[in-house]
Parts: sequence; C-alpha cells; structure tokens
Amino acid sequence: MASEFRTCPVTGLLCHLPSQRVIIANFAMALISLAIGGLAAVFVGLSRSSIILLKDPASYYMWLTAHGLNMLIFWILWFEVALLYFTATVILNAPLYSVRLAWLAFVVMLVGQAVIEVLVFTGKASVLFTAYPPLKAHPLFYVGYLLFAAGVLVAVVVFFLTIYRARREGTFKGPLPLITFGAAIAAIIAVTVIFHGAVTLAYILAYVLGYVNTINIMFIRWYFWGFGHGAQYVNAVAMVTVWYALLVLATGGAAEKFINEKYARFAFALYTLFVIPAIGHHILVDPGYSEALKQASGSVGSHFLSVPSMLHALALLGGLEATMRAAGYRGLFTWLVKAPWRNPGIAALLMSMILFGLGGIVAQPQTTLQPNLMYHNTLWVPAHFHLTVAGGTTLAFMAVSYYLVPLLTLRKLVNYKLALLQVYLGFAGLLIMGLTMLWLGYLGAPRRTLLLENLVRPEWWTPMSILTIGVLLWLASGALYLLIMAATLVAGKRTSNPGELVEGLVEEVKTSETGEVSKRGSLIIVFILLFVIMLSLYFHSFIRLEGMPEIW
Amino acid sequence: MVLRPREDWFKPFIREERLWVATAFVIAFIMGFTTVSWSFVDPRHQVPTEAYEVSPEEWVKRAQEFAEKYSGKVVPEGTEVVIAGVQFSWIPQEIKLKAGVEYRIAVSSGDVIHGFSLIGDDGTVYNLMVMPGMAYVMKIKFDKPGVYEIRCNEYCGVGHQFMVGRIVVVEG
Repeated sequence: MASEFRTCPVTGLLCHLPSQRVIIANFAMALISLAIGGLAAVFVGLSRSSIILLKDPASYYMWLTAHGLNMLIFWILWFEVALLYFTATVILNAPLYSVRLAWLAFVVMLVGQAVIEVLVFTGKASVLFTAYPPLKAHPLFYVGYLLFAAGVLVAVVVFFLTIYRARREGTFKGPLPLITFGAAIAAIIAVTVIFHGAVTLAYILAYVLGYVNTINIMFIRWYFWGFGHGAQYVNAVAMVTVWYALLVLATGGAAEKFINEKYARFAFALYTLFVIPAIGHHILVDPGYSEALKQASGSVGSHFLSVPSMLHALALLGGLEATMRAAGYRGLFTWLVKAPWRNPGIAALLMSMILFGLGGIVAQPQTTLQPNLMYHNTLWVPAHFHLTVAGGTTLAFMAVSYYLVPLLTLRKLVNYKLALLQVYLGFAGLLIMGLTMLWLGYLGAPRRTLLLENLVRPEWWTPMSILTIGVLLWLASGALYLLIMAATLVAGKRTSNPGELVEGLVEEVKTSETGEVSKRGSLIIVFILLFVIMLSLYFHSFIRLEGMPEIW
Repeated sequence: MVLRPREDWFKPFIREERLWVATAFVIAFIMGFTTVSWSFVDPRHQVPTEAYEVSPEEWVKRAQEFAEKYSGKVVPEGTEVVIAGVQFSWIPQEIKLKAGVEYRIAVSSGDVIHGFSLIGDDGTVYNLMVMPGMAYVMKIKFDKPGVYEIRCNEYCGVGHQFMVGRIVVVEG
C-alpha cells in the first residue's frame, strides 16, 4: 500500500499514484476537447468577423454546435473533474475513495462525448448547445448528453466519498482547506445542475422518440437554464477556487496567511444560496411567464448572484495587496505596480479577474427586465460569456495547469516565458473580442446567426473588422497553450528537483510578520469598477431605452 | 491555509472587508430597486406582458390572411398586426404602419422557437422570443417615419439568417 504513494518534492504532500493517473487522464481529455473546440472556434470566430470564412450555413451551424459543446461542456467539465479529484486527494493526502468508480465515470463520460462528437460532425445534431425543442436532433444525441451527465454525477459522488473517507481516517486535520472547500461548493452546485439537465434532456428525448406528443416549451426553457446557467456557476466557483490556488502557488505560499479565509468561505457559501433563484434571467422576454417571476428571479435574484463574485474580488486583490505590503510595498497602489507581473500565475490571476469582472459588469443591464429588451439574443450575450467563461474560467484553468501539470507528472514546463506570453496574448485577444462583440450587440447584431455579406448592416462592418484581430489573437493564445501542454506532457524534462520543477513559476515574496494588514488600495479599485462603472453602464441602459419607441 | 489545512483560519473581517460586504449588497439592492420601480416610473418602456395560447397551424392561417388583406397597404389604427415566424421567413414579409399611432403587434411561431428582433435605422433594438403555441402581444408606438428590420435571432435551423422582414413606418 505504502508503495502506491509518493511525496511531492515541492509541497511535501502525499500523492496516491493510481489516483494521480485518473487525474491526468481526465486532464488529457480536457485538452483533447479544448483542441476540438478550438478548431471549431477558428470557423465560428472567423465566420462572424469581417472575413466571413464559411459561406455555407449548414457547416457554420455544425461548427457552432461543436464549439459550444466542446468548450462549455467537455473541456470545462473534464478539467473540473480532474480539479475535484486533485483537491480531494493530493491536497488532503488521501487516495480516491474508489479508483475503479473514478475510471467508470471516465468511461461513461468518454462514451457520452464520443456519441455526441460523431453525431455533431456527421451533421445529425446541428441544434447548438441549447438544443431547444421542437427543433430535433438525432435521439442518440440526447442519450450521449445524458450519459456524459451521468458520468459527471459519478465523479462528483466519488469526490464527496473521498473527502468523507479522508476525514474519517484523519489524513488531514482541522477544517477543509480553502480550495477543497471551494471545490466542494462547486460540486454541490453541480448536483443541482445535473438534476436540471437530466430532467430537460429526458423530456426532450421522450418527445423526439414520440412518447409524448406535445412539449411544454416554458418548462423546457426554465429547466434547461437551471442546467445551462447553473453549470456556469460550477465554472465560476471552480475558477475562483483556482484563483486562490494561483495566488498562493505563484507567491510560493507567501500569500497564504494574507487571505482571510473566513471572508472567502462566507463568499463561497453565498453562491449556493443565489444560483437557483437566478434562473429566470433567461426568460425575461419569453411570453407566458408572469412579470413578478421575471422581476423576482430574472432581475433581483440575478443581481444578488453577483454579490459573492464581488466579495471574492476584494478577497483576492486584497490578498495580493496585503502580501505585497508585508513585503515592504506600502503605498496605496505601490503594491500593484510592484506586483510580479512577469509571473505567469499572478499575470493570469489579474488578467482573468479583469476579464471576468468586465463580463460581470456587462451582465447587469442584460439581466435586468427592461434593458434586456435591447440586449437579449444579440452579440452582447456571447460577449458576456466569452469574457466570463473564456476570459475568466478558461484563462484561469490554463494558468493553473502550468503549475499542477509539472507537479503531477514531475516534468518541467517546457518554457515558462511562452506561458507568460500565452496569458497576455489571450488577455489581449479576449478583451478585443469582448469589446467588439459588446459594440455589435449594442447595435443589435444577432448572436448564433451566420451573417452573409448581404445580411450585414453597414454599421456592423467596423466592429466586425476589429473583431477579426481579437479572434486571431485568442486563437493564437489557445494554440500556444495546447502546444506548451502537449510538449510538457510528452517531452518535458523529467526531474524531482523542486527548484527546477517550479523554475520561473514561483515568485518568492519575502514578507515580514509585522505591520498592519490593509486592503485599502484594493477596496478603492473594486469600488470604482463595480460601484461607479457598473452602475453607470446600468443606468445608461435605462436612459438609452427611454430614447426608443414606446413599447409595453 | 489555502493548500494545507490549518486551524486558525477563523479571522474576523477587517474594516475594508466589512465595508465591501455592505457595499456589494447595496449595489445589488440599487439595481433590484431600479428595475422594480421602473415599472412605475415609465410604464411605456416595459417588457410586454400580454400573451395568449394559440395553435401554430391556426396562427400561420391568421398571419396569411392578414398578409393578403394588408399587402402594400397601411394598417389602419385599431387593427391587430399578426406576424408568424416560420422556417425560414416572416409572414407577412413587410408591414406598413402609421407614425404616432398605438398598435398591437402579436407574434408567434408556426413551427420551432424563433426570435423577434426589431432593428431600426434610428438605433432602436428590441428583442422578444417567438414561441410556438403562444402569441406574444406587444403594444408599440413609433414616433417618426422610418424603416425597421425584423430579424430572427434565435437559431431555428439552417436558413435562420434569411429570416429578414420589414416594418415601414409612414407619416400618420
């Protein structure tokens, strides 16, 4: 039994080898999904930019379906399962509750994904990520979707059982470490998400197979978004968890004592309260739902869902501030200027937070009953979720793999400078993409629509041209990430030397214990961003609405 | 600790943290209060609330009758405008309305889910969902003459992008 463990040369944590193999396998599937989704992104992104790469609508919608499913479902969930296992085993010095069950989850997810990929790429399921009925895909498409969800559910159960056994056997003492706690919050939300997803997909499957003759579309829309948007909060919580990990890993552990864990845990716990009441922001302009429901769930509920994310913004920025202040940078913003911007982890943390913050800011008018009239189903919406999910979650996941892959495989990252370049390239690309898509959405350009040349309104051409630049930069960044990962996994230099393993990744910040902990600078930054800028945009939307024809 | 368990994580919030928790809730409250009170501030810039059930087949029939009756003519005041979204066109393709007059425009689908996006040369953008089995009624008043495109913005199949209709607003 003892031979199944190794001690991590860097952190001193125990690593169970059979569990480690499961984690790496899940991670490899995440990379493969990202590669497929990335290939699809070439066609989707460049077809929506001024290049209009694809002229054939059928292939555009096929690639769009592939892009949505591979990015939003497969890449992210494979990664998250790997992350859940990692936080419950390595961090807790424990083996997986059952390695066999974890492999079972792996196989079920793999089969589900394979079925979907085959159907999508043979053009039998071009119904996009949302798959709204009465539009029908091949019945096996829904079966594949359900299988994948079932696999994830098994993985989540293995995660909880692993924590349970680790606690019972005393492999760790005291409360759950913060990042395991964050992962557990993500897993709890995942259970509610899988429930909503299973109900929706089983119902659509019954309809497609003819077991039920009519389908209640209002029911589907509500439950689908219990799955569709809830899943984004699994991503958001996993992302915040990764942010804390990045802050601590990149500073060589120095930031650990400057994160207020009570505050962070309070913010994590709030997510579980606010996710389900916020489903309604997807049905704000659907007929049939009452205005009271739209306002309570869609608007008010959704605004409160942004509270935990706002709290984490201060916790993380403040954690960095307090660390840098303890290292001697005491001015109001000196800590930010002197922050290790050339460290891939810190760079990714800050870039990811900026993009996610911007995505959250633009979401507020869009989730509000009246302004939503102007933004619903325009490119404003993909701008929001590319900023939050690609800019926030994906960029953070990419960065944390620069740290965890060397530790798990004991192979040195091939080039940390390329990793840093990848982070900034991705930030630039996503920022340009986000801003131009917001611009297009503001002008009414529809989402999920192949705008052939004669369908483009004249005022849309300028932002579409700039969008091209953003798409190309982000594609280059994504390709660079896959290249670095593949090269590290296959040809990274094998080493157990701690200094060599983390070369270029860790910025040793020498902190002194004395001095007051202040987060003043961070408070000013988050206040200006979220109080001043967010509310300005919010009220601007109401003023803009007033200038349009009367509607009621 | 973040990576390793530690007993002494339970620290009280410092001043900045207390202040920010309060501020975050205040921000959410301001936005929630604004949207709810806006229903009273300006009841004429709101999401339409009226909807009624109707079968998709029946709706397409009504839209076709409407299209024949008012083809090339200005729809008179007090007439309900009937629009059906079908794969892949709008029935009717073009509608003429008078400026300064209140109209009831009812929109529903003959098959799958569509999106009703009204895009004006004056910068107007309004978006509503078009559902089969449910007619969505918006009351609308155009102030000035102008051209408004109707585009489908919910994916409805391979010809989705070709669903482009027009509302032409003429002097009242």
